[in-house]
Amino acid sequence: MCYKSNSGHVNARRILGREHFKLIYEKNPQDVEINPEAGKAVFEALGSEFGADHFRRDRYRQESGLPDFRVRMRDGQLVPSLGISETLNNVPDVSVDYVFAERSMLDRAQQWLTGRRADIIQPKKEETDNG
Amino acid sequence: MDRLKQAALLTRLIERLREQGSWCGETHIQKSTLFLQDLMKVPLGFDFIMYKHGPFSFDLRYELTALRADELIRIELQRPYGPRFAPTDHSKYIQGLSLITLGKYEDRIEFVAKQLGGKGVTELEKLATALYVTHRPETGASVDDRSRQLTKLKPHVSSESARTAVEGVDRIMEEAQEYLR
Repeated sequence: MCYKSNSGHVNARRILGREHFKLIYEKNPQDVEINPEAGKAVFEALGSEFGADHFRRDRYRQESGLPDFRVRMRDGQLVPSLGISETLNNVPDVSVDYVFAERSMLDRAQQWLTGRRADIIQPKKEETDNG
Repeated sequence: MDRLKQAALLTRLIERLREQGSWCGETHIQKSTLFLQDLMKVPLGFDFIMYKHGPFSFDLRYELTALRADELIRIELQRPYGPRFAPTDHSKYIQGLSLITLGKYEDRIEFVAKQLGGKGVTELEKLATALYVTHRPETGASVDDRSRQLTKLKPHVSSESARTAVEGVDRIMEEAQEYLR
């Protein structure tokens, strides 16, 4: 009996055979300075070169805003937390961007990416308006 | 709209609001973005819902957080008031990548900043709610109908204030026509 056509077979095989995807790119401050969506650019470039199925992207951006709540002062006055705490105003925001590659593809993809990365993450200036 | 263009437009809006004397806290940005999107037809793609202090977009809140994480905007603290947003020098670089989009919508951003930049949060809440009910009329479209709908949504707003806000929005909408042709 062949299970290969069953939905989830590929994912099950990856779990059982420890064929999990490996990290190929992670966002860093230098790249973000050039392109805040550097991870997307890398993911798309790898996908169009080797096939989108071989890559996964994990983008997480913190969704909550600033920690804004009322604080009761000693004299009973209620004031906004952000108005009295410099620390709360400077809590770093979490923003991560990872690209993972299928193991079988990792070395080739890594080799291809090295040396091209700077060009790939360079955002293109608008030439036509498609917004 | 892709995120870099959206970031260019939002940072430009923040710049223009500040030039017009806006405090530029989150509420000011939220309400101005609603006007920019719903009235001035700038396709920013944020969903607004009726929330505690009038129309509010959680998508926009998340995006403001992301813009801070990417160091395109920063927080300024002036005790005892809440924080205000300011564009960073780096936002100029992102704006430089979207010059066509910015050129297309610059006058609309300027218009919204001029109309709303000098207003405080209480007035902005009323105006934004008036715009919201004008674009989503549950009853009629007359000034009376919309004022009633506004006070229904915001019971702390007096009928007189609601009427003033609806008339204010009608005036802004009329002036906006020039930019929408």
